[in-house]
Amino acid sequence: MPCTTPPEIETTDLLAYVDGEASDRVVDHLRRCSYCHARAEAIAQQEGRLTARLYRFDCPSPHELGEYQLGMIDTVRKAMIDEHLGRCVHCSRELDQLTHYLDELQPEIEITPLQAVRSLVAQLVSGSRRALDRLQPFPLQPAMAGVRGNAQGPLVFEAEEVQISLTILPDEQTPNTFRALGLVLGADPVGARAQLWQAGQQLSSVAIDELGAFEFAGLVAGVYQLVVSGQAGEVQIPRLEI
Amino acid sequence: MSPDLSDANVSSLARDCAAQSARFHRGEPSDPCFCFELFRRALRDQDEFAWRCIYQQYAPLVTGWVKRHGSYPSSGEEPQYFVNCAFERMWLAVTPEFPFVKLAQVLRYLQMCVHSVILDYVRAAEHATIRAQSELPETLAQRAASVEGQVAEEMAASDLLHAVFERLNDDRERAVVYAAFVLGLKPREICDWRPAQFTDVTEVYRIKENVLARLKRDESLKLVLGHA
Repeated sequence: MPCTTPPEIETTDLLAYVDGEASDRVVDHLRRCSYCHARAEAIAQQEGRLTARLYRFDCPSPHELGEYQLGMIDTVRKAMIDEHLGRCVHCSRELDQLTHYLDELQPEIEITPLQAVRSLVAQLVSGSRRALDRLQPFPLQPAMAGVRGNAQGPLVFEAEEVQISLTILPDEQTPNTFRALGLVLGADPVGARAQLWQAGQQLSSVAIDELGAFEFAGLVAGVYQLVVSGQAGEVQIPRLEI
Repeated sequence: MSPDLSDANVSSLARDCAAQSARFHRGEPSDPCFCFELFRRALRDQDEFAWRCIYQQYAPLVTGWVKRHGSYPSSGEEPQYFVNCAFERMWLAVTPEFPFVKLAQVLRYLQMCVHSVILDYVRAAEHATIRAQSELPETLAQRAASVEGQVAEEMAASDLLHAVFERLNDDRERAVVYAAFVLGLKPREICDWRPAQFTDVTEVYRIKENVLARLKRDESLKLVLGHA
């Protein structure tokens, strides 16, 4: 049976039709011409069978790609996967997906570098005599992890190049409470914050102004932890007794 | 310094692992050695009781990982299915050599197992769709469904591609065939894939037309592809 509405559609246009990218003219012709429509079906069948037999047959499994991403693959297999990734858009996409997925879940399995700074500093305070000494208030007091505050003069703590000065005053607005006036030197105050903690709970978080100053008010007598955090990391005063 | 756990029993390890995990998730200082030792007993020593403790401890966390995977929502499966698959995958994949030195590495591998089982599911669904659309002769489709059949299919696919390549004239035709039928790319996508080699979509369609016509005339390939 010849084409019912000649001229018959060219094979390249039939291939585009099978791919869903044919022009309206071609689509309209195939709607009306069973001969050309049968030719398109034959092409689709031939392509479909090739694709069904060959599609991604040489792709490494997702598990092997995962071990590749984790660096757990031998060098021979790694080279083969490297070569494959150079030509396979699907495996490259899956590898990107895995990388982003693992990056997103990283905080759930390991302390992040910023958190490591906090714990690193805390360890230095408790484990290093030099760091502990440098976190003592000036002038020198008997060696203690924390210092009782009074309304007389500032408490000065140091960690590396950062110096934190704290003045504890009675809070005149609220009886039996105190105000803590702080000043941070040696660190960039932009975006920095001071956090007051007690028994594992954050009580208050205040911004540090452009001069490095901050304040906490309405504090009852007790033991606190102070954390000053900025772009470069954190400095922790693990024990502040008011 | 972490304690010597070589003599610790699995039950106490599990208890300490749970306590330290809770501390970690509260943002408190924690010691990963107990959980790491529990994993080591389970995977290196193939201790099934230790593995059950691991499962009990980490299944809730892994469930969250499943739900956060980008391909999970479209799977239509319950998260428990992939949780179980991920643990099974890790049990089978990690050799007695236990190539980890810290807990974070072990958990990262478990996260990777979550990803791999979900992607296995996605790929299998994709392949099933392609086979259904191809109207593949029944015997070939059934062979592909079994594990042994899949291995045979992979070898057969390699041989088929080799046979097809032998009937092609040059690297451009081989590139189009690989991109179109192994990668499943349309001609427009082939031009994006190799922009230096293919600048015109019409040219790619012309190459496909010539290749398909040549393969259709080949009597030996008709048997392989199940042509009428």
